[in-house]
Amino acid sequence: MASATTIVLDLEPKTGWLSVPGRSFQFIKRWPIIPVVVLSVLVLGAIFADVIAPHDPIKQSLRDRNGPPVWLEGGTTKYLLGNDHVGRDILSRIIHGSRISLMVAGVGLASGLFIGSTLGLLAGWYGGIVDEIVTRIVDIWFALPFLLVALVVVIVFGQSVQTLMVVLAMSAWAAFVRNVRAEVLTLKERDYVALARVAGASTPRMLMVHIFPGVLNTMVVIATLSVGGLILTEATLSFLGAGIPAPTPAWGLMVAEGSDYLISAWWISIMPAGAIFLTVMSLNFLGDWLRDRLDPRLRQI
Amino acid sequence: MRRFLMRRIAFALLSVVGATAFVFALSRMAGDPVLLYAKPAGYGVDTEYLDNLRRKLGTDKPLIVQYGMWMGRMVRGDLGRTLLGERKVTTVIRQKLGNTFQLAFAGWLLATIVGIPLGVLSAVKRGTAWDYFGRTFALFGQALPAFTVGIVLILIFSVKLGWLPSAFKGDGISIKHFILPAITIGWAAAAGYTRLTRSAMLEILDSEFIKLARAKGLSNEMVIWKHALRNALIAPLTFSFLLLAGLLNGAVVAEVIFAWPGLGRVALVEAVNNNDFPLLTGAVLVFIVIYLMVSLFADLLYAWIDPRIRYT
Repeated sequence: MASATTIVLDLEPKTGWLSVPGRSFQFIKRWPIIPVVVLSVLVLGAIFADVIAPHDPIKQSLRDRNGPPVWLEGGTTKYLLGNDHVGRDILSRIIHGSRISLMVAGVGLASGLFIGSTLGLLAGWYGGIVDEIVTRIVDIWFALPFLLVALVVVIVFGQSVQTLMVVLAMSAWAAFVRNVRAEVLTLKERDYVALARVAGASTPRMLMVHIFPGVLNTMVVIATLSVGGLILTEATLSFLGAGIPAPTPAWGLMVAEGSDYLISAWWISIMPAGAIFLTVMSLNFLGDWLRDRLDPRLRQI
Repeated sequence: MRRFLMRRIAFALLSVVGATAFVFALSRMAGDPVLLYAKPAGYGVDTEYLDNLRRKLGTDKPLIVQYGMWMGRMVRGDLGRTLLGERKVTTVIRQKLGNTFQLAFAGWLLATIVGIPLGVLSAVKRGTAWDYFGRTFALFGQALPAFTVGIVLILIFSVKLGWLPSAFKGDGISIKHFILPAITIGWAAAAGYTRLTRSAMLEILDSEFIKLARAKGLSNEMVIWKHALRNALIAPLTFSFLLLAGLLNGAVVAEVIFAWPGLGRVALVEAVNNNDFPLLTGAVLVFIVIYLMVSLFADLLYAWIDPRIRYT
């Protein structure tokens, strides 16, 4: 597919006013430039939030409450995206919120990936009773109404960033189990694994050296495709009042806080919602691209 | 086939037990439910009163015994009474489940009507404006949080234009009440359909029997609608059943935004926040049973539609 496109490109005339934009368009189509740029800005913003953010994200300023963004009437360049209902700078809150949201989603994903992949690896490799138990637990998990369970967990363990990470890990792990297990099931029948066994490789060695690299692609693809969902889950839980406790700036929480002021100051809700949208869309784009590159068999996901 | 069915039903029962036990234990970790309406230092409450209350609710016994008692009553169709208001849990569920089902069905219908044709169109007219529209539609649906969609819809159609109601106001229910909530929960689902149908359709259109059909000289319409679509629809069709079950659970967000009197909202507002464990476990039970029945049905349907799949 990729090589065919290259040949077509080479046949195009090298001169003429159309060739340059045409080629850069092809470049953008082939490589996930825009998502990578968006995500890089986001990650840099999250890391250097203290330096970049123009204002303190928690400092209230009642005189500026519900201040509109700069391009609307009454907006000032001091607060580019406007102020929320207690006068906090929305731009600064979004920048600081990216730190919280990415951190929570990242830790949740990493824990889910570790637990889920390990279980999937073991279930697929050992089969039998181990496989049966793990698969049943995953099935039960998919049958549970996740939002309700997540809310109960938040109430039991208290509303905190750590609890939210646990909840997100709970929402992430099962997909890894299913896909990694399926992948291991086909890999372990391969000749090279049998050869490794004949050569006297130990079980840990076979798992780590011969099976694990084979499922790595699947893991990366599932991970990229799930981050977006995790950020949405975090936002939804915050919206339902079970997410990150106020006044910490978190995107979902900001949308929820602003929803009471939609008529008078829509930007309080819509700005952080836009941030969520951009992030999740970039992640999905990147995930699709990675999937097509690394593991086209997962296309149904 | 019979063995497959028996196995599936056995696992479904196991799942019900496992899932309700999990929720039962979890809800009890949230603290003593007695404290909900009798704070220890409250007026006229002494330890004797609390003990009586615990005996009445059965929370003085070990957790496993409580769960066993709950199971025993559940099998006979009794889910106990809610802690607040002492209404029968079965009555509450019966009152609210219908509303949730109506909403989920509306969202499901909308998603199916929009999502599948858009997926077909996007695959058949690959690379054209239709394709880009379909893919953009899917991207938006999957990247926008449902609650944002709901809020923006209210802002545009209820507040600014005043065309559609934003919530129930006790003046009866009409088709207008369904439109915004259905879009709220249906968009992401439609996006799933579009992606699924598009990739299935592209795969089928690339296969040998389609080439044969074209070589025979069939019209393009015939090839697409009769040969390709029928085969491409298998995946979206099975997906559609799981989707309906998923929408029943997922309607919670729309129910909260639009003040919809459904089971999800009751479970959330009343059961979770008040730790009303009989109501919570009952609601979870209903959601799980529906999900399991639907997924079993989807599996059977899958084998019926696609004879290449045989269950043993």
